[in-house]
Amino acid sequence: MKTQPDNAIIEIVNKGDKQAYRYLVERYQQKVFQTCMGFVHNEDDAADLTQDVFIRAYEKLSSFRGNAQFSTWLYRMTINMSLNFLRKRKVAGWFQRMDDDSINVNYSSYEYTDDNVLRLEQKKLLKHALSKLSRSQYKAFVLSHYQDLSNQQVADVMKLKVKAVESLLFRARRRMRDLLKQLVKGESHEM
Amino acid sequence: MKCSEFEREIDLFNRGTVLSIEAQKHASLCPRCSLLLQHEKLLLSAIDQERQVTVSPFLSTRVMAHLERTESGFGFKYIRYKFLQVAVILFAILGGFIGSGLMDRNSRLEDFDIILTDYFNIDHDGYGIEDSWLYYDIYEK
Repeated sequence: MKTQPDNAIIEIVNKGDKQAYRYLVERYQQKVFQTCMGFVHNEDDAADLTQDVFIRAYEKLSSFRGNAQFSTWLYRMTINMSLNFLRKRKVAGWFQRMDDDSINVNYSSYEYTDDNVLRLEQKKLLKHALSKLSRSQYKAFVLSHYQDLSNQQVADVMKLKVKAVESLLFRARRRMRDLLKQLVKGESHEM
Repeated sequence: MKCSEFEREIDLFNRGTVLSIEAQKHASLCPRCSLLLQHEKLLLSAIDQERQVTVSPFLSTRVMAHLERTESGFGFKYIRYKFLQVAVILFAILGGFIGSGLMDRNSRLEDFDIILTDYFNIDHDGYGIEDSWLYYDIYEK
């Protein structure tokens, strides 16, 4: 069963052998988890979200027509559910988030700080940088940099042309670079 | 090398990019570009750290357990739903019966009142006087 293609397993699951679905979960759990991490940046939330994605995918499996690859369909669902999760979290913890977003880090002295503090600062920087991207740029960036999908695969998931994905990735990197430059500029003035 | 050229050259997001000797020299001389390089490395290492986190090996078991629970709960849910439907219909029928019974009882009371009134008013002493007062004009004519 482990070596069978996705569509064959899906057919078996749709015929009633629910246990076969376990093979699909095991095959894609790490990729889905990585994508969730790219959006939520928290291990526990990402694990819960991954579980929800596979449960939803199982419920919708009968509607999967096989026009696209199962992985493409699954990643698309992962992205949508991750964004929904972020939206809910934003509404729920509005004030807390405002506090988290305040970024004022002195990176020039990071070699003297504790590892954990550095990791926390890195995470803050990453969250801050990603929050500056548009939704499409964010999706493309996560699929490309967290999952290592090719531009063609990203284009399939996002239902775009490869050129459009290249453009999105280019603009995402440029925007992140601009943010870093702003930070550097601020720190240069401080120094 | 100018700062703008350095910025163009460092694109760490394209993995495997190796800085040229010129760029390395520039970074060692220009504090601003050196800081920019540090930041970009920091960002990239944050992404790498998140990518390296592995999912729990029990995730598939958790998913399958959840699906089992949902499937077994489906029968009970279905029966409960159907039971509720039947209960609502029975309640509506019962309500109808009780309502119609009450209405009948009220109407019977009304009928009884009319009979009683007629009974007491016929041959009642004052009835004739009252009648004559009421229809005085007619009688006069």
